[in-house]
Amino acid sequence: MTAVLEVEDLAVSFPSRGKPVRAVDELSLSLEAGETLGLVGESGSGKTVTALAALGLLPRSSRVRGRILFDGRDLLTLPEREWRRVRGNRISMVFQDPMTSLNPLLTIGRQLEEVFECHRSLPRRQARTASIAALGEVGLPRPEARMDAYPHELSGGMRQRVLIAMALACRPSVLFADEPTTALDVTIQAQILDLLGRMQRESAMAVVLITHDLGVVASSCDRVHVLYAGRSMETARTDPLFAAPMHPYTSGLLRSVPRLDDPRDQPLPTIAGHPAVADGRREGCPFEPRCPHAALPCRTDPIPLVALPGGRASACSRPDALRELEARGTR
Amino acid sequence: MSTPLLEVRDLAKHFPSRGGQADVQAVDGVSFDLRAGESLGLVGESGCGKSTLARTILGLEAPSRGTVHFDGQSLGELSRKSWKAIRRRMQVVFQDPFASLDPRQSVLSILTEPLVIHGLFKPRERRLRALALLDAVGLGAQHLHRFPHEFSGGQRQRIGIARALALEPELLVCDEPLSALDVSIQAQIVNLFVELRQRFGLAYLFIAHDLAVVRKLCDRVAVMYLGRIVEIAESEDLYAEPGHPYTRALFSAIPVPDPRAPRPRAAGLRGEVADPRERPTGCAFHPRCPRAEEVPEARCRREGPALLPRRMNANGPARTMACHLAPAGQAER
Ligand SMILES: Nc1ncnc2c1ncn2[C@@H]1O[C@H](COP(=O)(O)OP(=O)(O)OP(=O)(O)O)[C@@H](O)[C@H]1O
Ligand SMILES: Nc1ncnc2c1ncn2[C@@H]1O[C@H](COP(=O)(O)OP(=O)(O)OP(=O)(O)O)[C@@H](O)[C@H]1O
Ligand SMILES: [Mg+2]
Ligand SMILES: [Mg+2]
Repeated sequence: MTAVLEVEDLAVSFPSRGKPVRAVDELSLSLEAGETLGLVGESGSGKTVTALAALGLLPRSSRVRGRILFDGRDLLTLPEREWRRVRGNRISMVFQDPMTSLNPLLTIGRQLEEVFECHRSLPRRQARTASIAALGEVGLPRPEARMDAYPHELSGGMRQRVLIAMALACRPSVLFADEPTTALDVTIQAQILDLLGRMQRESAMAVVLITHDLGVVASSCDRVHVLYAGRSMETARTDPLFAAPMHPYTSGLLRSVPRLDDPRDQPLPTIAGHPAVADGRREGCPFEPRCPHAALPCRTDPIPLVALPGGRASACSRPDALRELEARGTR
Repeated sequence: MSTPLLEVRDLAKHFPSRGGQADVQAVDGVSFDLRAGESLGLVGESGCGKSTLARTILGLEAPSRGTVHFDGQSLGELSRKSWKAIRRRMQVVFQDPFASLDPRQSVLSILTEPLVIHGLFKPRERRLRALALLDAVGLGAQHLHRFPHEFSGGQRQRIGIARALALEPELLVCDEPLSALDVSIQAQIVNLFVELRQRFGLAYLFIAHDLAVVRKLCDRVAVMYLGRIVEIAESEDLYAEPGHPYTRALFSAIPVPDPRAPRPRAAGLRGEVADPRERPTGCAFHPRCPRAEEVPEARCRREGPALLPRRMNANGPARTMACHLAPAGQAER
């Protein structure tokens, strides 16, 4: 398969009063046409920043290193005027917060029409027809009537679907979807994920799906990339990742998901402690302070992402300790 | 039986539309009771009116029709002063921990502000109270003088919960309090909600899309469709056997964290998502219902089903449902 997008050793940091915040640290991933890559990880682990880097939307204050290859070019070196032809057109994004990414003063119809007018150069009339169709595609009831609604007149879930319609308007090759279904009920979620799946089959669109819902990951991602404090902890195809996680953080995440067949009267297993601050500490594993299997070297040694059989990789210096525990049936 | 803590009767909230269109019947005739210390889940399609219902109960929206009684008092007839006293007893936690805290206030001032407004505790004791609240949500004293931006999402949500607890409410209304949090923190907050309930005997009205979380937290669950409740049942019953065809569709769409499981799909849901501006005749769900044909004489299209008890237990009805289908609830899957 051919990669449509390749991220190589991406590092993004933000200046702050103390040490700079290293939001993303030596991240590499490749995305194939038509596939869905799940990006999961703690809040603040760098998921959104990674997506913003690939869309050229990082704030000026940020410092970026590495390469993001798309169409034979390194996006990180693209001048702003060329970005306009790529962003929203070839690579687009559904943002995490639907309220801040819609203009409260314009009807949603106008906002959608603008996408069609700017990127596809459609005349106003056709842009309107295309916008109505796009709203229907994401399952908004009575799309024609909704064209005149302002964002505050829609429920959270409806706003989210408007954003999805805008992101898909130009049939992009790569879509970054940042928590696209978190605000939706499960039936509409299933419908949206089906829609994304259909678009992928039709136009080989590749999707990076950022989500904390591991049920969604299990049902719609081909591969998964697990981040913690800006660093890759583990990457694998979805099936083997769920069957046998190779990193204690992944394993902790999987255990803390509430399931429909859990005993109702027992507390959910949790990962103790608080999410790490991305402080750019290079030595040791960022998950070490919360890791149930941590040993001394975990604090001091460099812990690289190591390739494992079956196309997976894990950044844990004690994979055997984890396997032992899993074997004892603590999962 | 004793008076329920919250008694909602035929509550409706309609929003006027611009340009001569029909009103948005966001909530249209909702009735239910919530006992003291009970936890009721509220689930349903995006846009079916859950948040509007919560806001109307809390007095943040004026009802278009119907009544809300809290501990026997009708909220519609309260004076300003009595409102203040009641507001103390019902508090709210919103979805977004970022938007719901004032970035310029320290944690100490966030937690003591409600006490000041309601003139509770001597000024000197308020600080101790703030510390106790932080402790109740699993945060240490070192956080007292920090500001919201210095906290992670999970910690901010804990602060939001601590603030809601400051006035020792009897009812906590939670509108998607977990969806901005990641899994490991979600689990901590779910456990916190369970613990707070055991410690303080809190009642919850808990709105969420994550049905596994609702099962964990709620004694009963109300399922809404297009502004109305279509089914209320005890959690055990509902999860063992969803009764209403909409509830079944909803439950069949839950994604399971196991890649080998079949892909979730909304079983049998036909047609377009419903629009509260154009409520279908009869049962509002009938255009999308996979079983509407089973009911003779197009009754589902002609006549709205009443919300009727299907099974009783010691506390009253264990399952109530609005559907013309045979006194199911026990119907085959
Ligand atoms: N504009 C910015 N200035 C300074 N720091 C930033 C900025 N944007 C992000 N960060 C920091 O970068 C880190 C990664 O943030 P990011 O938004 O990518 O997290 P995330 O994985 O998307 O988390 P969540 O699940 O909460 O959305 C965080 O520590 C965050 O505080
Ligand atoms: N201020 C308003 N003006 C007009 N219509 C409104 C207003 N607020 C809400 N609505 C409409 O009322 C309906 C119910 O909205 P509400 O936000 O209560 O849904 P919800 O069940 O909370 O949905 P979600 O799960 O997506 O949060 C929607 O159709 C929405 O468009
Ligand atoms: Mg993010
Ligand atoms: Mg809502």
